[in-house]
Amino acid sequence: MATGRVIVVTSGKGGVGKTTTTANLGMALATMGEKVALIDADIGLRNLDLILGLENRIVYDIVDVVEKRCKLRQALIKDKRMPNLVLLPAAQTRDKSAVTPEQMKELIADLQSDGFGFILIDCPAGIEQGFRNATAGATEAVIVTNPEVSAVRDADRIVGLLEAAELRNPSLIVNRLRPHLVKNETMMSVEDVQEILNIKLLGIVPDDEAIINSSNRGEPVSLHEAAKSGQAYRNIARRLRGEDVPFLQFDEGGLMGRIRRFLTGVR
Amino acid sequence: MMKRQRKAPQAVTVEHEPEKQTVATPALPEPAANSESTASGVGAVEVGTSEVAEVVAAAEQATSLLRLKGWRGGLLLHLDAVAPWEEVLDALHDKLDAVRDFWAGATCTLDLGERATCPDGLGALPAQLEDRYGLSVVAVAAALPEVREAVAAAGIEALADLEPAVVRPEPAPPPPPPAPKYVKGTVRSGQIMEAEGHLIIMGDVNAGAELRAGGDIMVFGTLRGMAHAGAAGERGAVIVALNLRPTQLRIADLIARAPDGGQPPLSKHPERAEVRGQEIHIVAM
Repeated sequence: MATGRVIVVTSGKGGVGKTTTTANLGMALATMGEKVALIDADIGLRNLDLILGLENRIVYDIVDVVEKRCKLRQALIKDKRMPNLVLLPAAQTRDKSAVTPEQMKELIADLQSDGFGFILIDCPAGIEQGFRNATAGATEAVIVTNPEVSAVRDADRIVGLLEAAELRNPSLIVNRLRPHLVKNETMMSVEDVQEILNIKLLGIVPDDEAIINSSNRGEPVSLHEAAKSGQAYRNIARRLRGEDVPFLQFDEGGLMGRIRRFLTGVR
Repeated sequence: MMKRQRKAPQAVTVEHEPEKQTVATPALPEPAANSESTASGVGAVEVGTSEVAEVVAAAEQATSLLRLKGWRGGLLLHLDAVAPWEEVLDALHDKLDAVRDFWAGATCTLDLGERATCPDGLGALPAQLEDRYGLSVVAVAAALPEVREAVAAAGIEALADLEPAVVRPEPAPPPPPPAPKYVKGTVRSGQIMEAEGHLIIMGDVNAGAELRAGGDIMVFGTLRGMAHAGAAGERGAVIVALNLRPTQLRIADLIARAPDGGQPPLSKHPERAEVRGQEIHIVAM
């Protein structure tokens, strides 16, 4: 029975944090006991394995699977921390045309029949073949954007393309928010982004230096209890599972913050 | 080069073929290259259509025995079917003599209507027209079958009726205006909404999206993208939005863009963009 949820993580623009989001949501869902498969659809520019720290375990990849050089199960890499999290890595030596949307659909159906409850697809940037492949088998879409005009413009384009591909009601993650920049009105606020995109907000992830460090070490930040961004990802994972979790507040705490708010009149 | 050709065709001709200067006819874009056609036709083969219309209109007014019309790229002569044949012929020659050389090289069709026979037979007429005016008779329309047979025997196309071509088509009633197009939802970057008539968007139009309508555009939401009203050239078209924050507005052939350095503060009222003079103006509603 195909009951697993197939969620494509996409953005249009590159560098907004699709891969980081995919890795962290996958990890967070796995820690909550879900059986999770991550698919790196960014063939030729594979990154998801790095963020997860699984690069050295790759033997077969997605192209090997669709070209029948190995069984699907052989290509799935089990996470070193979470046995219920697997990664289907992209091929690094090929390009997007190595896989067709039909093959993606077959592959996803196989994963669903293997009992994965969440299948997250890391979509490449752009709106070409790679995007079409990544969205082909998905039933839900999560759009990652940054609070800046170019990322929002591309996200808007993606929402339109997803609608055309019958992937309706995508949800939104605003990544890399800098609350203090929003306060002095040099950065778009989440409300500004939402006003333009007009889709359901799934989560807000603050810009966090901890992410740089954790990405480099291959340790998703959602494993870190202390990191604010990790907390944000865990909250998003809980919302994906249907829980009602309030959005994080990024108000400046402490006495100085309160005085500044009082003086500037910003709430 | 284009300009010169249009203004002074002769000058251009002379440049290319100076030795044929005397042959060139100033009124024609191209000179008659061979002398035969120039001698017989005086180069008047390619008469402008407006000139034909003028002459035809004058002829139409002049007599009821005879009516001239432009038809199938040539001339159509309606000959009265009841009046004595001689009178008809006189009227015909009077008309054609007035501008004798004008018809040279043209083709013509004769419409005999109900006329059964003519005293000296039709046979002489085509040759006469050819000799005197350079008009060649290519077809004859006659209501009576025996006349048509005789015409066909003479080697001229015989037509039973001219109805479809002769009847001046009534000016067609203007087509009903196309129904307005109604779109519910957000029009997003990269999407284009087009309508032949008016276009109504119940939602936002984001930057990077395009609206194009033959008529007016109404956005019940925020217009951030590009909107082109009156796209077929209708300057009376307007663009209305609850929040008008477009990257660019176009009405007919005019273009207005958002000011550099950020949008002006948002109006509290819906706004309308319309053409005043040669500019697109935005007014509060």
